Amino acid sequence: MRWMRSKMKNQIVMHYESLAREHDQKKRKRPTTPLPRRLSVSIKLLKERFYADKNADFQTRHTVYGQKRACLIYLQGTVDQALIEDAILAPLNHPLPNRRRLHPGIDARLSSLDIEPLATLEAISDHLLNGHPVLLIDGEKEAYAFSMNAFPERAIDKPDNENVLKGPHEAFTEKIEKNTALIRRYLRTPRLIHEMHTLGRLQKTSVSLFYVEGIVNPSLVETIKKRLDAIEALDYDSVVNIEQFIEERPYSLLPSMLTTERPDRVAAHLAEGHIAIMQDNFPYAYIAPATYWTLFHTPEDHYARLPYAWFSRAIRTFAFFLTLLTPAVYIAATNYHLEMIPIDLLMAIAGSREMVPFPVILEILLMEFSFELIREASIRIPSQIGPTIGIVGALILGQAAVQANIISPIMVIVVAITGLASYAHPDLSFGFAIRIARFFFIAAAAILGFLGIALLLAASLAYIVSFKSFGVGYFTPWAPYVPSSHDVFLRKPLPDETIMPLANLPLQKTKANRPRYLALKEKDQWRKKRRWRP
Amino acid sequence: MKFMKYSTASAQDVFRQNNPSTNDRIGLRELIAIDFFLLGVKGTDLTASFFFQFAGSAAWLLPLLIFIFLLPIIFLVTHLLSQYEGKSLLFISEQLLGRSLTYLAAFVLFVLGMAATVLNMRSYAQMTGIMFYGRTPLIFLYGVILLTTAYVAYRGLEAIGRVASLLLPYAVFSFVLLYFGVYDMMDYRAIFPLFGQGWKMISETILHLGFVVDIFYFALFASMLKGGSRTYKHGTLIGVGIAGVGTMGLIFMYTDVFGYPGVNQVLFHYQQITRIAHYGQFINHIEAAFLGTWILATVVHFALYLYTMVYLLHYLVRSEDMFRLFIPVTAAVFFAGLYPYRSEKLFFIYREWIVWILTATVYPYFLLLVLLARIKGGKKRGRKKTS
Repeated sequence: MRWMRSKMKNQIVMHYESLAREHDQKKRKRPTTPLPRRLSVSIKLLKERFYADKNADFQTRHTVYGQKRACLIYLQGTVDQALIEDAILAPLNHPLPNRRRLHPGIDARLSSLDIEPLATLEAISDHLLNGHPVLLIDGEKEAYAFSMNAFPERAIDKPDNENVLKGPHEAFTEKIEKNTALIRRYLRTPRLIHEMHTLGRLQKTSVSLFYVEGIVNPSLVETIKKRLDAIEALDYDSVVNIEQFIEERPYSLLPSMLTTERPDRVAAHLAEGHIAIMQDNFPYAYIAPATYWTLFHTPEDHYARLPYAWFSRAIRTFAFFLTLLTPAVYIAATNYHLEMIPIDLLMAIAGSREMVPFPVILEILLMEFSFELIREASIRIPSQIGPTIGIVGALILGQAAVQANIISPIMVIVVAITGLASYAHPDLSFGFAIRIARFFFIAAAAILGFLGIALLLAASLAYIVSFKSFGVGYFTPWAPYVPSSHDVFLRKPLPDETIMPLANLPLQKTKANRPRYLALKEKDQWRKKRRWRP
Repeated sequence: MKFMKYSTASAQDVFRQNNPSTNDRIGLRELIAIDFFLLGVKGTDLTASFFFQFAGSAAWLLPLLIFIFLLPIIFLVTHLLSQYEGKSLLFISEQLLGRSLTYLAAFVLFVLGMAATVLNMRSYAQMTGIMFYGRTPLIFLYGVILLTTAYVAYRGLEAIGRVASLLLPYAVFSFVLLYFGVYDMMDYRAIFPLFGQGWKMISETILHLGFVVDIFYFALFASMLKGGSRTYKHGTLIGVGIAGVGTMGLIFMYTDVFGYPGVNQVLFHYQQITRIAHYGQFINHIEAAFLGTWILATVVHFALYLYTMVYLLHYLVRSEDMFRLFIPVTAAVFFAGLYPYRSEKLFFIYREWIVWILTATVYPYFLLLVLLARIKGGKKRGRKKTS
């Protein structure tokens, strides 16, 4: 069993995590080719590298630099042509003020641009791929890259999955620089660190780590960095989704990271000692470590006033159990514990099921499957015929199936409540987890009624409390109990949230001047008396 | 003894050690909840029948009596643990009794524990089968409950503790709910005569202190307690206190609802009483809901039993990986639980024997340890000598 348990882990990465530590950093460096002094040779090598005879995007523009021949290289489409003409080629065609040889980096004509000297062919090809035009000069040891890429990009939009009624309406885009700027706007502190790692051999993906120095626990950062190192050492062709590479348990139903598209949420978590991981070309941030509560909360819980937030959380808690248990409880009650149902209701259920030829379990599986089918189809259905799905779902699966005596009307209610409740859960990954777990509960209820449900509940509770996301328990600060601001099922008023979530072991333990806060409570008898103590 | 230390794969990692989620420790909340589930559940099984047998109408006072008898023993054991702070019971025993005698003691503890586990678990499966699942084969019920229990135990002691601490409020709530459900059917006069069968009660209680030996089995894990012997003392006192009050309340309910002589004719009091609990006109017969909470409590209860057994076996066979022993222990419990069933009376006889033996072995063992610690001296006395 232990063997199985270790097999279920993200084995390769876990293994290489230890390996990467011992691995010599120099050995892992790519082979480098120094730039040839002769321009024609360098151009030839670069052309070979980019298959320029076949590749239409590879562009060379010949020009001069002082007395020397020079060549500007770029990949078409990744740069702004007009900008290149105006900012690079036109100034170069101006004569130099005197015949002194000038370094392009300090050349008055180009000094307003962001220029980086490059000594190797590999560096040149990386910069070209990142959309930087590169200037090669005959006889020079170094080439010069201009950071002025113009990849097509999307404007900042409203969040799609994490809407709030009250709060900021901004979501991440695919461009990492823009996302960084968004996070920095919400967290204007010099202690916010943005670390970049480049992973992938064929397709280079930049992976960014965000954390606040002095708040986050360094060993947490170290853990994630080690995993990134391990992925780098393994030389994957491409890192499609960083989440699946660094999470510990890929087979588990539970997500070990919080996925969000909201910069304000990322900023709030960073300020509480979490780490955000972002990836180029991916408009979501992953927040680690995640607990059940972070997945259960929404950003609006803190923007809305206290009673409204409580109400909303209570509804969501209720929805969680409804999603997980409604069909299972219905099966258990109708198959095993008939005496539980009041006699009138029992008669009504029996009456409505009179004409239905199937057992309850088959009925419910049929309906649940149809509902999941609608959900899956509605994601992919073209938007022009989107409304059709509502008609199909409501009319055919609801009314017609009942009239055809395939299912009983009460089953439609059960499935509808379950389906509705499953939309109340804010996190996409956790929503999936509940929806899948629901089927296990249905099976348990079909086999053993309430006994089965209780046994499965006990087992899943044992699993969930011992599940860890980056070494932090899933049910902290509840089980195990850790001092916190009690932001779990309910929350305190914002001014009373003075303790950091200590389960992450942050270096900074409080969010406010705690002695002063406690002194205030001592003095203010009115407050002290009426304060709600969780 | 080095292999017994609860070491994790990356013990070097400071983060792991300081982290409450990963340092594999049991805190006060967990200990209270564990003690509650170890003893409180006993009020719902056939232990109540024993109590009625000893004390008649005063059965509901027996938990109080047991608690009074337990108090000095808890203090003594705490004193013993505090002399060897941060050490597990077997380590202390090795220091005081020597390795071979400790081995023997562990073997006896293991065998008796296994017998109790098998007998109790089988009886729980039987209860479920007779009261709720008349057509399901007993073996299947037994196997399913055992497998779930084994899984919960396999997740580790801290996971059991966390599950217990999460479930404790609901368990207490279900007791209170049950009280309101049968409120109108209770006849308080049934508890008289107040002292039931008189002095016999006290001698029988002392003979059957083995019913609550579980909390002393927990001293095996004293090294995993967050606050050491202090936590053990407070957790045990509070946990046993809550469990005692709960059990008293339950037996009080049984006596009053079924009436005094009548209660002797009832088997499975808790299950019967949940059947007749009702709330207004509309909500009645919700024994299935009580079944749910009861099964959750049962799973936690037996998960601790299994974990203790695996821990003892781990000590006995000196295996490298403790968690591998879950398979043989679970299998042994399963096959031993298939003993032929003749009558419920047989179960009572077996159970009584085991309780007697437990009383006769475990308490003397602990008292011996306390005495030896007093003579040989623990940490504190040792310090005095050197200075």
